[in-house]
Amino acid sequence: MRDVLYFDTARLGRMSPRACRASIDFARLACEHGSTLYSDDFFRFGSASLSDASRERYPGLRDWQGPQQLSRQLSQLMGVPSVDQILFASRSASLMKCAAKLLFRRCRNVLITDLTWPAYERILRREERRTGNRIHKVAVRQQLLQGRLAPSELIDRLAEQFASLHCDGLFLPLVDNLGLHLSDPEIVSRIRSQSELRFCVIDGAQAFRHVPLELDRDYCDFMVAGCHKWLCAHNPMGLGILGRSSSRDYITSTIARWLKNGTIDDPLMVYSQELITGDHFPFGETAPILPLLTANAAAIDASDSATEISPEQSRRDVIECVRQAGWTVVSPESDYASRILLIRPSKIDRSPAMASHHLRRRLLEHQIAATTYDGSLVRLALPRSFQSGALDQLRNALRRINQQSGTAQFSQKSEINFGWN
Amino acid sequence: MGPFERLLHPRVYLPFGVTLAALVFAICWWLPLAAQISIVIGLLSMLIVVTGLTLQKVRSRDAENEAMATLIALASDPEILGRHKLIADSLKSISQRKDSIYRELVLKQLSVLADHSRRLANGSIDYPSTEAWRVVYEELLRSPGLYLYRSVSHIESAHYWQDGPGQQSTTLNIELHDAGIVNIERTAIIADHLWPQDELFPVEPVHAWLKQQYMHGIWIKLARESQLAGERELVSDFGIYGSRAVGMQLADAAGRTIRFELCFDFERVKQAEGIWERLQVFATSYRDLLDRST
Repeated sequence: MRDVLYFDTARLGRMSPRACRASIDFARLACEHGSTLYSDDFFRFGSASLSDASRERYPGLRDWQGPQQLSRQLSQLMGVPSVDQILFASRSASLMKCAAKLLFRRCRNVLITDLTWPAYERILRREERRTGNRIHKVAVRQQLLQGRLAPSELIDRLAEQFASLHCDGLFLPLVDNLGLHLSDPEIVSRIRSQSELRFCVIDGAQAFRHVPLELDRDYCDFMVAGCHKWLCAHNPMGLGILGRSSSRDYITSTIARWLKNGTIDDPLMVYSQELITGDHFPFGETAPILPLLTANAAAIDASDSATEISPEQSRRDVIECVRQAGWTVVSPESDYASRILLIRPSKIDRSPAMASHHLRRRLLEHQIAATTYDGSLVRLALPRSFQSGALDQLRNALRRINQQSGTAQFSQKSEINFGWN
Repeated sequence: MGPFERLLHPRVYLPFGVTLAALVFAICWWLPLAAQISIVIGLLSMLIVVTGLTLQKVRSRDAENEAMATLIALASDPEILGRHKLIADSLKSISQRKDSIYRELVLKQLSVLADHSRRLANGSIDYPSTEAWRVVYEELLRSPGLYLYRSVSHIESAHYWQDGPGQQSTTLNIELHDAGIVNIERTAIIADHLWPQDELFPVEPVHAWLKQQYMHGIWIKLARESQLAGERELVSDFGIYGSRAVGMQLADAAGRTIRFELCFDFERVKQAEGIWERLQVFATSYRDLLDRST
């Protein structure tokens, strides 16, 4: 496992070293001391509340300086000016539910695209049914992947659809799960110049620590993100980021009400708000604390990380390597580019041996960790830096897989089906 | 059946007519021309009289049929039929009293009642000089199937909806919107003295009232009354309950209700929607004002 080339950050990032140390030492603390009053102080005020002996004994916990410090770390990484703009939840789905409620409180017709993560779309649909409002879904994915819709055309299309469908709400991913990086600030700006946009939610799950969030451009009201992918905290923890200043009071006062009346039942969200605001909210249950510690540690690692190679260069290198191995790059060449690359063999093998899970296993046999989809599609999430020889290893692995499937049935059909579309 | 009705029955008048015609023909055969003309004229006159009498009878039967049709139609609605009976009984009692002054007074009052009934039949219910309409308002907002309530508030007084009933209605709006039971949008037409041209927000407590609603997610838009100077028909105070009803409020200088009219006529709802749409062109969202303030 030591030499595995990790291309699966888009699913679950490899744990950062500090996050790993925090995780181990927190497990030791929990084992040796359980949860005492000292633990509460530790969660609220950080490692300064621990005795010198404890700090020596559990060095991985020294980074924890309380939730405010975590907010500061994250807000710096996100480019958010205020530490009060970040909410924590044990799952990003909890924040997505809040986002859907906030969205449909304000909006009667919400525009989404087929780039929406299916679980998030289900949450939006539930809220749509509950409130009697409407969702309008615009299909763009196929055209984006086939290079038939330039960014300016996408902006025009979405703005035109928004106006003609009388929409007033918007939900967009910044980077979708297949790595299409949309120019959300431009899209929102155009829509706002033509129509009344009441509330805009951005799915930043694949974007945080992957592409610039551009929150300083004040384009979205709320963003949902997570820590277990590109931040490399490994433990899932949802992040809710308050965007436009004119919506912040509305969002914070609404969420405070929901915490009080139990509409929000995410234990980490309740507990973290108790830690930050000092308020006490009913309906509390035991909250998972570890994600706070690992997110904090991973954020410090991310802030300290050495300069990385240019993402464009690294993408170009991998594309060249993939092509040399006889594979095809499915992702658009330059438009919508991100660190996620979709590839597949030049001839698509539809035999059971190349079904998604088999292909994933075969990649792993060649020391490559990546996500696979039916139709021999592989998603590579490019790391921030490559070990020497990594590209050779990737090229050889892809070449060998191509050769091994030489006897299988091939199809030239180029349509991409992701199963859940 | 009276003798005249018996005469009008086909079994009677057909043989009678044929016999009469044969007799006239036989007599006329032997008479001189002048006598024949006199007889024809006489018969035609008789025909005209008989036709007139017949038409009159037919007309009186239409009225009977209409009354019968009304009863049949009401029979399917026992609640209304019950009220019909009560009113009919009262009318019968009234008609039995012969005092002329009494009749004169009663007829005047009955005309008012008839006019009121006609308004009710047109789907309109009036609540004059009372806040009693707020009970029905709550009932409507809580009614199943109502998802959207659009309200236009014409604010000419800083006390608008600041009294007890007004505050209760605001609380109700917020409660229902918070619970996701109904989506509420409100456009406020604000008199210029309450929203001076050089001020970003209206004066207190109007601003606080609007902000409170905005903070609960109610979409708020504002327009200065002077902006609508050329569109006076847009300056009104009403609420559209889904596509079910429209309520029009008339308030006094203190913001108290003078009259409230609730109308369930779809055409009126459509008209109100038209006004709402036009108002949106002139109004600015409260969010835009907040954007400008930061």
